[in-house]
Amino acid sequence: MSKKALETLTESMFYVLMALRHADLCGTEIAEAVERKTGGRVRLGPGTLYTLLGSFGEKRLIEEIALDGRKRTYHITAKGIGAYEDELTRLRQCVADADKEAAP
Amino acid sequence: MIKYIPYRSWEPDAVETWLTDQAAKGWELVDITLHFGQFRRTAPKRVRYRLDRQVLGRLTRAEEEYLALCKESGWDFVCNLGDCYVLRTEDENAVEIQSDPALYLEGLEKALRGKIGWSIFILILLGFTIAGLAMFFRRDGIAYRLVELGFLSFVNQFVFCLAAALLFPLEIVTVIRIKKRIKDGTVDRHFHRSPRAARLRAVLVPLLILTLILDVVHPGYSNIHRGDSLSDEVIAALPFATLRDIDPAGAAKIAAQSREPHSELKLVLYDYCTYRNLPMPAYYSVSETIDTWKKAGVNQYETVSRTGCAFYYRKLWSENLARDYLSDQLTFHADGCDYETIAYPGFDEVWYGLDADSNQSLWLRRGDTLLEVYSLDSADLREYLDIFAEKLS
Repeated sequence: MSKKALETLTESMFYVLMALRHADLCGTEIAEAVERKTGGRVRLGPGTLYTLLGSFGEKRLIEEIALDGRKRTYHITAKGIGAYEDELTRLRQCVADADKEAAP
Repeated sequence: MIKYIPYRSWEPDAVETWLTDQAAKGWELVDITLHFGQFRRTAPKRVRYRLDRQVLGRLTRAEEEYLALCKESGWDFVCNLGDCYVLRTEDENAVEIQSDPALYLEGLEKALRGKIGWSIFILILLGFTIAGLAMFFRRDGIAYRLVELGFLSFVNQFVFCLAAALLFPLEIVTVIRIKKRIKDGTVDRHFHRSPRAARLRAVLVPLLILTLILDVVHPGYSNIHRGDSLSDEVIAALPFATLRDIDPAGAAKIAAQSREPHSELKLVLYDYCTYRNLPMPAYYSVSETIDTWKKAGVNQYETVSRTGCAFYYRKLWSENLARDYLSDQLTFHADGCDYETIAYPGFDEVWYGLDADSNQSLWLRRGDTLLEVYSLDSADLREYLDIFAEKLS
């Protein structure tokens, strides 16, 4: 079953927001940042990346702040930071729950 | 080489697999126009094709940026299919265009929503066609009249109905299968559809479109001329005698009146219509009459006098149909009018009638051809049978 967009972030969504958390980046830089941060485990396809950028833009999680040639630079909004933090808290809770479950 | 692409953009994996198979056979996609792919011959290759639905706007910076990122990721843009970008790579390690399975399935679901509208459209057309065909076989039904008058071609309708009837279940089954995949979360990028169904669709869809065009859009289906467009050349080309042949002075008077500005007390009807199908039947209607009116109250007029003739010419599908049609018409018009049959060489049937208002009717049948004449003039139509016989073809 597919996840309903933006209610719970998928892995790709989470990493795109993470990449923009501390820097404003263009599409290529986001893809490179995600690959670098995950050690190559997560590679964003161009279709996925542009679907996400469009969807995040509509939901005002990110905004376009600069246009240089054909490259557009994106900036994460306060709402985007909130969505990222919420997901991070949820994931931390999941890991904590799993750790408690694994403890003797 | 032009090939019809037998799958829709809303089942992208089927298109992708089909294009990949074509490349393996040595056919490389160059462009797509209206679902027909243009291919060029190459050596057989292992190529991955992907259809990616993006709302970027054609020739925008967003599109440029997207295609540049595709290129950097190892994907070459080929062309567009509907709202999808068709991309190709020979690099086995190139990252998937849609790398997030959840988003990929969500995209499939979105694409399918538009598809349901198409299925309903086909269902409605199918319903209309079946109803029309059912009525066709009922004498005097609407479809019977339409076909007889030449608005619709029976063969065209039958082919459309057959194509729609076969295509509709095929589309529904495909939609159900895709919905099941979305529900199950199955991401299978090498999803093979039935080649038999693809071949069937490759024949049915163009057939459906062709019949629709013939039925609705074809500009040669009917010609309607009004007023002054009833020129001497048009009249001379008619396959039957008109007022000009039997009463040249009366016809000249009407022609002169038709060129004068109309007043509220005079109405000149001077029409000529044809409806024709390919290749049959044909229907012509010519009305050469003048009505004079007088005011009988606010916005009310009454006819003072009428003169002239109306002609209806029909060439039907068969002699039997023409005979039945004439029989129906005589029954329909029999109320208040006595018909007499006249034996006349050159016609299979001749019927003449005179009603209480001294209006004359004449019915002439030769094989599958009928001429129906209504005269508001005092001249006896029976005196012109030789002129009608000579010109009727």
